[in-house]
Amino acid sequence: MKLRRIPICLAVAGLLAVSAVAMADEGTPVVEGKSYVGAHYLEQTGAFDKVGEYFSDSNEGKFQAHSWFTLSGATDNTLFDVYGFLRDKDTKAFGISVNPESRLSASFDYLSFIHHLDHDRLQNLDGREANADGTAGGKQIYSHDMDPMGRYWLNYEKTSAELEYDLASVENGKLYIRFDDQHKSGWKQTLTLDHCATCHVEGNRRMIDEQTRTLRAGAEGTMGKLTFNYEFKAQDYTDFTEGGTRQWTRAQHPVRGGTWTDPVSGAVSNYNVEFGSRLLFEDVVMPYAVGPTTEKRAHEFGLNLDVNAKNTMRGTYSHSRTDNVGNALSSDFDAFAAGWLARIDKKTRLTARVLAYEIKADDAFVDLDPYREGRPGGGQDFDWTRVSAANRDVLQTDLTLRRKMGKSSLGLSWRHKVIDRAAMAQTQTTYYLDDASGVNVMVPSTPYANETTTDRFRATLNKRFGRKGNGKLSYTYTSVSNQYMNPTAMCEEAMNGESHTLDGNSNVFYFQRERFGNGTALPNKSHKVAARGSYQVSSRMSLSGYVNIASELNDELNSYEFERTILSPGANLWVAPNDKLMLTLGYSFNSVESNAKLCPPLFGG
Amino acid sequence: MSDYTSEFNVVFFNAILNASEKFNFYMDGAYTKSEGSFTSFGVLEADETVPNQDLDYSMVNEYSDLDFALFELTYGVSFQVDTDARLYTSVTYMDLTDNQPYVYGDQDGSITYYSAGMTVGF
Repeated sequence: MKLRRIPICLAVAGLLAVSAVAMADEGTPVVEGKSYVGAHYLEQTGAFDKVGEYFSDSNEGKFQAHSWFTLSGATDNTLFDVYGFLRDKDTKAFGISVNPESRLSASFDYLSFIHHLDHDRLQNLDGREANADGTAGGKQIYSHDMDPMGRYWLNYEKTSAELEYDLASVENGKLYIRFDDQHKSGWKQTLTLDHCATCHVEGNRRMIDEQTRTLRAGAEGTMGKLTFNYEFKAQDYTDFTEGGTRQWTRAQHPVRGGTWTDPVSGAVSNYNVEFGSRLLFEDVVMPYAVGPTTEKRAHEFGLNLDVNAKNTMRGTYSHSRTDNVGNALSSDFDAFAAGWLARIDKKTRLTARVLAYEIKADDAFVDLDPYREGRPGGGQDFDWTRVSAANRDVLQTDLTLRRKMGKSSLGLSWRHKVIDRAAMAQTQTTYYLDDASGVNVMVPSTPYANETTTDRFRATLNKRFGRKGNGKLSYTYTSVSNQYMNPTAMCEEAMNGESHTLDGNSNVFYFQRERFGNGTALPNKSHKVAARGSYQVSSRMSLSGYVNIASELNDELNSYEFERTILSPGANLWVAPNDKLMLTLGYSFNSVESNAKLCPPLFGG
Repeated sequence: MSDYTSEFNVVFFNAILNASEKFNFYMDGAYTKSEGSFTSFGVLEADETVPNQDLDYSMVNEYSDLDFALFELTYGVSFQVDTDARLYTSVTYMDLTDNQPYVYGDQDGSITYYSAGMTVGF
């Protein structure tokens, strides 16, 4: 009986729509609308950008008109819906949707809002070691905020248009074209680092002017037992700004400067030449944070075959290519998916799915100037080929069994997924002195290949409690072999007197210090329990609640054991004590406890 | 080793009172408390003795503490002036308290938003 309620509701809704059109046919247009027009006044104290993260303060301290309207109805065989909203110059929306004939529909929507962005004051980056005699040492960190009074924000605009046409000659046939235009403008803070990593951090103001245009065009329909769909998608991202420029500092000794004369021997050291030979650039104005302009073209084709009343099969193929116009690098994505749905009996469904895809990005050759070129013991070549960490072959299979049991339903699913990465991470080119031959030996950059296997088991129980309540309980266990991690990312091996100094070069102690710790924040074993339910106590009171619990662990790491515990309960109460008063109360809590390994490098040289 | 804990507490309510055929009152409120912090990293042991160094990591774990409290309250009333027309007015107050200001400066701030107008159905 209860199962009939949804179709009945849909039927009533459909009847109302048909009635509206019928009434329109009879020359009685059905149009309903609502509107408000008014004004608001905004005042603020303290910092605005966090508390008013999505509020415009452009009219702070002044009256600003606002309005909203919606109009929908049917007239002359046309269903339509129009709306508009204006809060201020940064926050507005409007749109129209029309269905002039039963075979044609068109819509147009526009939305804009403001998002205030953070400003890192950089004031925590200020420190320098003191030598034993109290003088300033060489190791230091300092910063320059070149825009200390700056405020940053993003104006987001999205314009969408859609046109659909039902093909009379094809069952369920439809042609459609959709267009999205997203534009981001404003200003943001950009941080740049000087030569020695985080020694000097500089913050600058940078313009935002980015556009993402997405066009989708497709067709779908049914021929007998076969249903097909095809979609072409073109997505272009353009950064219209040219990027900022800044002066990179001159290479010099952190204490003695560019040139230094020994007060005892009188010998002159030119640190600008020595340290400059270790850098790719210095004492020069160069651009930074240049946005990547990209173009993506994608095709997707799908077939759905109703084999018989009990079996349905589906298969899709998709291909996309993304070109980075700025550096001429590309990546390809190819995916096959197939599914089989079997209605074993009236109460049991079995679903099997297979997904296989490949991501292959172009290798990038990083051409670097020789290290300390022209200096004694220098001239090492650190060129390397970057193999993208996005490259992978993925095979995923899903098996799901669902069975109705009276007022309950039970679901069991198993996912098996294998991700084969050519380069989960990559070492950098380095050199060492071979003691036997006395020759400097290059160790080329080496990708860490990795194959991650995941098995996920899930059991789900849905239950209805009469007409007044329902609940859902699920348990998920996930086991992962060779979880994604950053290998040898932390915790340096102690030198303990071992010299890495190269032949003919006493100035370099080592290029890449040996590290051994693997790090990740992803578990290889995970237990998750999720429960939710709702109950209508009476016609004047209803309750709903949920709880999510997760216990996760990674015991495959070589330097520590990662653990994470998540607890997230919540409850809502709706009550109407009498016909005049309605109350809604809610509470939610989320707790995440995890751990991390810290290995700060201590270097006194 | 260090443990990292983040906690979010959200309490909200909504009340609608149709006091008479002409007067409607409503009130929305929410309080959000967000916290995040590391425990102490403990005593760090260097593999080698480093001369002329006095590196103190005892306070490092507190550098990235987060502690925000956000309070939001809206109170509104509408008055029916005709069958399909109502006058409305409301005030919204939002207050953010940053109890651990650091990287982004002190982000304490509040907003008061007054609104009035007329609603028409047709």
